[in-house]
Parts: sequence; structure tokens; C-alpha cells
Amino acid sequence: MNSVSVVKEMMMGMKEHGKLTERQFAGIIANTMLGAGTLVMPRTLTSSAGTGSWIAILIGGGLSLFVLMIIIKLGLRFPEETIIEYGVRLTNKWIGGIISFLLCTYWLMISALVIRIFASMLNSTILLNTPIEVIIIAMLLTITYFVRGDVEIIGRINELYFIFVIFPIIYAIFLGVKEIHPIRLLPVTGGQGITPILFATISSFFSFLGYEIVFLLIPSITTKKLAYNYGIKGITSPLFAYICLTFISVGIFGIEELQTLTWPTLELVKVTPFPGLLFERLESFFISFWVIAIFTTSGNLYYSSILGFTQLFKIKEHKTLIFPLLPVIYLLAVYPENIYKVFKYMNLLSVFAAILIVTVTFFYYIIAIIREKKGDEDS
Amino acid sequence: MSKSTIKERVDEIISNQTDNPGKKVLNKSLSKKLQENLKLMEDIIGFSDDVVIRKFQLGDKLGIKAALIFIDGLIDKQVINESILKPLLIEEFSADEIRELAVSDIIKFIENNTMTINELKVVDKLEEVINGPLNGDTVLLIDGYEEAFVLNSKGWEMRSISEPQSETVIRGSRDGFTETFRVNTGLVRRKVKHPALRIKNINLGKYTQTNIAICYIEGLTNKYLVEEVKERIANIEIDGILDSGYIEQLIEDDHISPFPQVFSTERPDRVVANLLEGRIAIIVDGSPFALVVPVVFSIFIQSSEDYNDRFIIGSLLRVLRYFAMFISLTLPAFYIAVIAFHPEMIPTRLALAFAGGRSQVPFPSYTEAFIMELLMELLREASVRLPRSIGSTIGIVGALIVGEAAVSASLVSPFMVVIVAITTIASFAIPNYSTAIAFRLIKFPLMILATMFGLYGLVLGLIILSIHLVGLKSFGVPYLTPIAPSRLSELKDVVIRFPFWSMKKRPQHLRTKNEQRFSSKGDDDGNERTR
Amino acid sequence: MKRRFSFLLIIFLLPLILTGCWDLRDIDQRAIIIAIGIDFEKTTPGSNFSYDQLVKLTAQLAIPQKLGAGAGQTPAMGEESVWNVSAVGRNLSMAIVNLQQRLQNEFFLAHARVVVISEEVAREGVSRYINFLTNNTEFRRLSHIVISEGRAEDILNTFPKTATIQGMFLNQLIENEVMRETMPDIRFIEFTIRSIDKGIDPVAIMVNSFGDVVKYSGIAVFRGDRLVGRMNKEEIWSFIQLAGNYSGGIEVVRDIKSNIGRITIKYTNIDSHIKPMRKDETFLFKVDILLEGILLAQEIDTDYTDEALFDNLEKRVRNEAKKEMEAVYYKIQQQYDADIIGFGERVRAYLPAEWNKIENWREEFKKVEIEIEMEVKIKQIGMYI
Repeated sequence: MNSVSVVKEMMMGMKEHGKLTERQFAGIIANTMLGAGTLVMPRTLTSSAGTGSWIAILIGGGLSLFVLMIIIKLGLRFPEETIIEYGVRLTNKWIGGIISFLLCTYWLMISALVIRIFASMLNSTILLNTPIEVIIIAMLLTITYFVRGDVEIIGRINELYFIFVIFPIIYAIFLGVKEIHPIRLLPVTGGQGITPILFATISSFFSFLGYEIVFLLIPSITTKKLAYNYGIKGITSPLFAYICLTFISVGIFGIEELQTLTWPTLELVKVTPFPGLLFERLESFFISFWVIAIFTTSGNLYYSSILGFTQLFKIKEHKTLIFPLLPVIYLLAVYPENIYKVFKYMNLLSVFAAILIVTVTFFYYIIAIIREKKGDEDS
Repeated sequence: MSKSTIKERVDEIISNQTDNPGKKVLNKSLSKKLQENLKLMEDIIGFSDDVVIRKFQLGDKLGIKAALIFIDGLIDKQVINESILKPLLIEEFSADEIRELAVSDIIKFIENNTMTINELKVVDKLEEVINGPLNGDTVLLIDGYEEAFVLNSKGWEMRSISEPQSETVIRGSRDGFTETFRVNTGLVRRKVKHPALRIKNINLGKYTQTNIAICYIEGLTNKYLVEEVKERIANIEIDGILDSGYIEQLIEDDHISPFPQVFSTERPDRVVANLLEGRIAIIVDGSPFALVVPVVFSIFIQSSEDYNDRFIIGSLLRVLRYFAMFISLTLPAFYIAVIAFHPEMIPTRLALAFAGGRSQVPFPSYTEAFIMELLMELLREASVRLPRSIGSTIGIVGALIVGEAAVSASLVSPFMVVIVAITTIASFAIPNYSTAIAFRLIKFPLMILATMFGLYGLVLGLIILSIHLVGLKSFGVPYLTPIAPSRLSELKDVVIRFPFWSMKKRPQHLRTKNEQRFSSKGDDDGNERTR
Repeated sequence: MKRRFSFLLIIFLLPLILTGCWDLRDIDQRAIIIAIGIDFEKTTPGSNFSYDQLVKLTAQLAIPQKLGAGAGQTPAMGEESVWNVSAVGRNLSMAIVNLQQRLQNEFFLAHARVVVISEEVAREGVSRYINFLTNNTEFRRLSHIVISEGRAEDILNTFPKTATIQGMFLNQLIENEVMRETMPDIRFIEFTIRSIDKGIDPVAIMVNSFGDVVKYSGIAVFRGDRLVGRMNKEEIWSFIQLAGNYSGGIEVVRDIKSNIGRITIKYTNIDSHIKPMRKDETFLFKVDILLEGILLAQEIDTDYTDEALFDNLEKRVRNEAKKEMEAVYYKIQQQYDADIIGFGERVRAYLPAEWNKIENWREEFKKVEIEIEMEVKIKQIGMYI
């Protein structure tokens, strides 16, 4: 009965051409970027440039947008293939294979680290006695259920959850504005000259990863020509959110105090009271929304990793890889011994990944152009 | 004849009957002799004591023997007496006229000129002659002729059209489907007076031979959808269909999910509203619940009142219902999470009140919650079985007394009673019974998750639930359309109901042929045209 | 086969999670602490402590049974509804451990609203006690720090007649004053920030108690995290007008026409700007203040509809206010040497290059000058003309 329905569905036109609508595409990008970063970014981004960080974030964000556009452009050259597939076509089996392998491993590791960071936060704030392994396993089981689906389900869930992911940030921004001491936001340029700002720009660029899963998504989009449009929409919301969040955190706490807070966004929520509401201390409530944000981030990354490996090793069903990779991601998540190591690994990984992604993008792009020119010359 | 032969013959006939309906396998014909025909029928029907055989002679002086066969209890005696027997018995058949008529002409004569019956069929296959009385028709056998007449004499006691018990509205029609097939199709016909309404019959069920009707509007509904529905229904092989619920379970996409993927209703106005949007209705004989496919989740939270009232009222009530749905699902779990894991969330005075209320209770909060919720489910299930007159009283009294007593005995804290009461009331606000049950059931696993991890667990549970809902499909349509995947034009009818003049298009997910609803008030942009 | 395997795997993993609800602690199993008091306690001679001074922690617990929602019961008030428990230890953490041993339920700090620190302790430096609370995730960042003139536990043991729960009463008292803009709104988090920040120093409210009354006795001025001095009510008002953009309390001046009567002005609104400028070797701070007030009462029946008189009145008020402000400023600078107004912050904000050159702001602060430009506007004159 099922196969008949599938045929009928296609005849009925009820199945889309591709599987992701444009809004889902934007939603996936935005959700993947809004992950563990939201918890710590106000501190990490302001460590070098102080009150001038917003310039750094703006420029870093602009760079990320630029890279995203190149990625989309590259992907649209091969509209039915993911980077795994056209990478092998552009170069040879080995180079393409190694690059793809690195990418997928990176996604797997970041997914694990994101879960770990969040679990650490939970462990130190609201679930103090629960063993961290259990927190991680609970999240992993949920993600496993999520990843079993097709890209349609991934898209729909991301679309559905975007509101929930962005809501706490908007809330924090709107309520935090009241509590700002404007004096702490000055001087606007950081007062330390241009070097710290440059440094901060680079480090913020490294922190803004997440959009690179577009490498795998281009073939699944329904209307390809809207990809740019919605790619921009997808990336601007997280960037905007980060800038506002950092801005407000600096305004409320001041640079010095901000550097001492482990989870600055959480502290932000703690000091912004909502007058007269039934519930007072809203952090637990907020953490619920962050669960969703982390879920989408690590879920999308895990899915990308699995999808990538599936295509790399030419396996038929992506579901087969889910269970073998589950213990791998679990071990990656519990491997760091303490939170300092976690942050360290996260930084290292981000730097490495950013370099990898930028290099790979331009590399493939240039090769594609060369090949095209060669093709023109031959004919 | 020996018993085994009879049994074999019965089995053969019956098994032949249940192959793809419409396929005539049994070609056994009638014989010319009345006695032989009667004997054949006796073998098959067995002439239970409610089968009546009325032997008589046609005409006054003709002497042609005939027999009527019908089953008492299924027929309208008046019709048989007045419309069948009277013309045949009293009619003066002039002997000369008759003898001059050829054999086949007599049949034609009887068919065309004698009986004042509204529906008449000439048959010569044994199968139809047998099915006739079983369905309430009367069979007229005439000695010397191979053909027989099947005459519509259906008439039996049936429930009159009354207000549907499961879906009451304040403003809206009060008629509801009954158990009689033709009454139900009639109710639909009365609301759709357009010739494009199609009602196609199928018989399902080996022993029950239940009449099933597939209704749709030709030219509006996607024809592949109709094909799919017809095929899924035709593929059903089962002993008997006793209720539309059987059909629902046999054609749905996912059997394990607690959420209904087929919409069932007792109200003809809801059926017709869905037909007009491009959906397909299935009416089952013997069941007052009609089915509608394909469905999306938002249908289950809607009530026909939303459309009968003005749009602000409809929208607000609908928002209230969504809220109620959420509460009925999560409130107990939320209570457990807050009390046991995150008491910093509640204001201090309230926290102290909670602590004070719980101080005498020997159980931890999750045990309290489980006990009370189980008790509530028990009460509800019990009150369904009670006769109407005592039912509601016991429900209220039971709840109050049990609650009070439990609090006084320090079994539960008073807050728990309040929480459970609110949850129960909220679940009554969900219009569709199956959906309300689904939520009632799912709140228990959520409570377990909240007991383990507090709000973290509750959120993970809700995530898993939404993943499940997002993946559900009803006849190819994703369950959570138009929220995910989102279609902006359809969002006008989900949480808030936009006014009629702005809902210009039919739902996109149904891929109807004709996209525009006919609207007189709005212009093409969906704006209100001012007079 | 695959399905079976994955199903079994899930079944095996589930018990890992189900084995326990580690963090589940019902609300009636938590000791809800409303207020905390920190004192010093001398060790009894002859005991085997190697310190001669211990930290005494007093925790005010709410008794839920007395406060619970019972049908028809009057809730307990004052002394019956709370229980003050104390314990000592060589630092705050030890004291807490000792205190926990006296309690049936586990500490729950999330509802604590007030931290009372005795002056003695504050003079030695509060940060080592505060740090425990800052690091604690449950503790409310928006609670209040209060310095007590005597012992902190005495404050917690004072039960005003209208107080249901004493700690909440204290909290409400403070918040009401803050709402009336007569007290600075320095909550816990703000206090912490300021004690770390090099450009501004914190202040805290001081209270004392006698009998069954708790009342304010001024503001404690801190340098870093040590208490160095205090200011009384009028000084507080000038201070918060200068630094905090709060309108302060009332001003009483002499009547224009006659020398006996007095006019009372209540301040309602303030707009204050401070700008730093470099002057010679030090800094000059230009202060621009616009004060608005209403005429609260006049003792003599002078007719102020006359414009000249009115202007005169405003001028007189302005002079008074300015004088008081300068007095406060000099006191802070010379006597206490604590930058509670936040001049350092302003230098950092507007003259970042200069700020980077400064190594020790406190040294610089001694030398800075201030120039106050004030304007007073009386906006309303009440019901009586």
C-alpha cells in the first residue's frame, strides 16, 4: 500500500520537487548558528576589543555573510549535488574524499562539543546532581530520533522551532535594554586602538560558523534561485541577535565583570526582572528554550555529518549510520575533562574549521571556474 | 441434500460474494420453476423464522403462481401491502390479454404496469435474489419465469435525527448523522445541492456487507486523491465493518501514532465544509460518525462554531482552545518540574504556600501527581459507562468529594487537586474526542520525563512529540501543515480565523483543481470591497 | 533485524536514565531561606581554634507549615513564621556547612532577598563573603545588601508588627524607598560589579534596629570592598542627585519674604550630566544638573505668583542644593577617598586615552576638581495658591 501511495503522491504533485522550502532553508541556517555560542559569546567576543567589540562583530559577521554567498554560489553550480559529490568530481577521489571526511568529522565533533557545553551549563545551574553523562545521553537519544527522518523532517522541525530559538534572545534584548548603564558602553571604539578590534574581528568570524551545512543542502531546495535571498535572511538573524546580545551584556555588566561570568547570557536573564509576572526567576524557563536551540544546532550538525558520511562511503540509507556513530559522538562529548578544556577544544576546532571551510570553498570555486574555462576552450 | 453440500454451497456463495465488489462470479441463474427456486433459496438462506414467504396467485383468474420473499423486521409492511400485493392481487388480469402476451412480455407488463413501487429491479442471478431480502428488499418470484423482481421495501425502526452527543455547539445546526446509510447521505445531499456531488458505494465486510459511501465534489477534489481513497478502501478484507472506526484504522498511514489521521464527526455541516475545501468524506452504514480525509492537525482543534460566529469571536475562542490543548498536555508535568526541580521560579509567598500545603503529604510530588491523574482518568472512564441521569452527578460529586477527602486525609496537597481539575477541564475544551484522548495519554510520559529531569525532560519530551507530529502524514499531506511546512496563504485559518472575505483560496495542500473559493465580498487581493 | 537491534539498544539505554531522578527535591524538603546575616564572633578562649575571630552566619528560614495554605487558618506572623538559625565557622563556607548540620532540609538560597552584613565585617572587606554568593547559581542577583550598625543577627531578630515574614518586610522596605527615589538602587549584582570596577565604588544601605523597629541610618561608603564611611539622609540625597540620577528627597529653604517661615520643596525629577575634562595635571568634571520639584508646603502665606519672588525662590533652592552637593563631594573625596560617584567610569568612557595612562585612579581622584552648574525649576505649587 505504501509504495502505491508514493507513486500516487508524486502523480498528485503532493511531493515537492526538492524537499526544502526557502523558509526551511533559512531556518536551518539560523538555528544551526544559534547554538552554544549564545551562552558564552558576550564574554568571548569582548575579551579583546572591549566596548568596541560591536564593530568587530559587525565586520566578522559581514565576512561570514560573504563566505556564505560564495558557498551558495558554488553550490548552485552543481544544483543537484552536494559538496561530497561535486568535490570528488572537481578534484580526484582522494583529495575530494579527504576534504569531505574532514568536514564530516568536524561536524560530528562540533555537534558533540555543543551538547557538552550545554550539558555543563545544565549541570552547574539547574541539574546539579544529575551525572553529566545522563544529560548527554538524554539529548543524544532525542537527536537520534530526529535524525532518522528525511531532510523534509529536518526542514520542518527547524522551521517550526525558529520562533522558540529566537524568542529568548529577543526577550533578553527587550528586557535588558532597560537595565543598561549607557556609561559602560563607552567608549564606542574600545579606546585601545585598532589592533584589538582586528583581532576581535577574526575571532568573531571563527565563532560564527554553522552556515556551512549549506554545502549539503543546496540540492534539496525547491526553488534554487531564491537560495541567495533566503541564505541572507537565514544568516542575518543570528548575527543581529549576537550583536544586540553582546551590546546589552556590556551595557549591563561592564567589560570587567563580563569577563568574570562563565555564562553571561544566563546572568543577563537573572538580572532582568519581568515585573508582576506569575513567575519570577525565569532562568529555568529560558533554559528550556535553549534546550531547543541546542537541539537544533547539534541535531542539524549531526545530520549533516551522517549525510556526508553516507554520501562519501556510498551507503544507501543514512539510517544505517546512525547507530554506529552514536557511541562515537557520545565519547566525543564526554572526552574533555572539565569546562576549561571544553572551551579550549571548541576554540581550536572553530579556528581549524573556519580555515578549512574558507579554503575549501575558494579552492573548489577556483577549480570550477578553471574547468569551465577549459571546457570553453576545448569546445 | 446433505448438510455438507449445503454448507459448501453456502460457503461458496458467500466467499464469492466478497471478492472485489462489482465482480459477478456467481452466475447461478434462477430456474423457471417456482418450486425449484424456492428450494434453492431455502438451502441458502435457510429460511430462518423471520424470513417470510408469501405465496399467492397473480391476477384473479390467471392462476400463475408467485411468491414474495422478505425478512420481517427489515421491511415496511405498508409498502408490501399497498404497493406490491394489492396491485398484483386485486388487479384484474384479463385472461385473454395475458395469454396473448408473450412470455417475456408478462414480465415487462408486471414491471411497467402493475406495481406502484418506487424502486424495482429485474434480476436473474441468484446472488441478487439472495441479497435482496437481506438488505430489506422484497423478492417477487413468478412461476414459469427465470427472472425475478427485487422491490425496494426497506423500512425499519431507526433513531431520528438528533443533536450529536459528542460535538455540541451553541450556534450552528443541531442535526447529526444517524446509523442509517441513506439518511446520512441524504443529510449531505441536502447541504450540497450541486450536481457535482458524487456519492459512490462500496460494500465491505465479508459477513456484514456494510454499505460504504465515498463522497466528493467532482471537478473540485483532486482526482488522484479520490483514486487513492477508493483503492485503500477497496483493499480492505475483513469479516465485518461495525463502525467507521474500523475503516479509519484500516486506511490510515501510521497505526502506531496516538493521533488520529482521519477526521471523524457526527455533524453534517463539518463534513460538507470539508468537502467544499476539497476533501473526501466516507459514510459508513451503521455508524453515525462520518470520516473525512486527508486531514491536518488544525482541523481537530476547530469547531464549526468558529465559522458560524464572527471572526474575532471565532479566533479568540480558537486561541483559547489551543491554550487548553497545551495545558491539558503539560500542566501536571510542569507542576512536577517546578515544584521538585525549579522552585525558584515561583514567587516566594507562593512557594511557601506550596511548601505548607505539601508539608503534611507523605508522598513526593510526582507520586501525588500520578495518583491524582490516574484517579481522574478512572473517574472519567467510569462516568462514561454510567446511565445519563446519574452520570453527570456522579462525575461532579465524585470529583469534589474525592478531592476534598483526599486533601483532608493528607493524601494530596490542595494544589494538586487544583492542577488536576484544571487539566481535566482543559481537555474537555478540545472538540475532537480522539485528539483529547491522545493528549490525555501523552501527558503521562511527559510527567515521567519531568520527574527525571525537570523542565529539561519536559522540553525533550515535547521535542520528541513534535518530531513525531511533523513526520506524520495523512494521505500524503504532512500533519502539521500549514505550520510546518509553512504555507502563508493557509495560515489564515489555523490559530486565528481571518474573516471570510480574506480567505480566498482553498488550502494548497489539497491540490484542488479550482483554487478560488467563490467570494462575493472581496476583490482579488483579498481586501474587503466597500459598498 | 536492524529494527530489532535498534529497538533493543534503546531498551538497554533507557535504564541508564531511569535509574534515578538525581535532582528531584520537593519543595517541602528544602529549607527556604529568606535572609542571611553575617557577623563576626569571637572565639571563646580556650577553644582549639587557631583564629580569634570566626564568621557567624545567621539564616532566617521560613516555616512553611505555619505559612501554608490551610482553609480558614490565620497565617502566622512575625516571630512565629520564621526561625533564625546561626552557626559559626572560620569562613563563610565552613559556617554554612555547620549550619546545614542543624537543619533537616537542604539549604535553598533562591528565595533569599536580603543579605545583612555587620559593619564590623564590612570594614574588613566583604568580597570574600560575597564571592560564595556570587558563585552560587541559586542566589538572587537582584537581592539587596544591607549593612547593619550593630550585629546582623539583631536585625534579623527584630519583628515589626506588620511583618508576616521578616525578611520580606526588610526587602519591601528597601524597595519602597528606592521607588520613591530617595535611596540608590544598588542590588547585589550592581554591588559586585562596582566593587570590581576600578572606575566606581559601591555603596550600600545601612540599617539599625531598636525594639521592634528597623530603620535606615544612612548609606555605607565603600572603597573597593571595604567600608570606609557613611553618609546621612541629606547627604544621600545630594549624592544620588549627583551620581545616580535619582531625584532625592526634600529641600527646606527659608522663605524669601520673611526669615521665619520655611518653604519645603520636594524633588520630582532630575537630569544630570557629568563630563570629564583634562585640566593641568588633573581632571575637571563639569556637572550639569537640572532639578525639578514641587512646592510641598509653605509656612508663611507669601504670594509666589509674583514672578520675581518665584525666581528668587528657585535661586535660593538652587544655592542650597548646590552647597549641599559640594559639601558631599568634598567629604567623599577628602575624607573617604572613594569614588562612589563614578568619575573614573566617565574618564574611561570619554577620555579613553587618558584612562589608559592612569595607573591608580584613587590617587588621581584625590586631586580632581568639580564644577557644578545647577538649575532648579519648581513645576507645581500644590492645591493652595
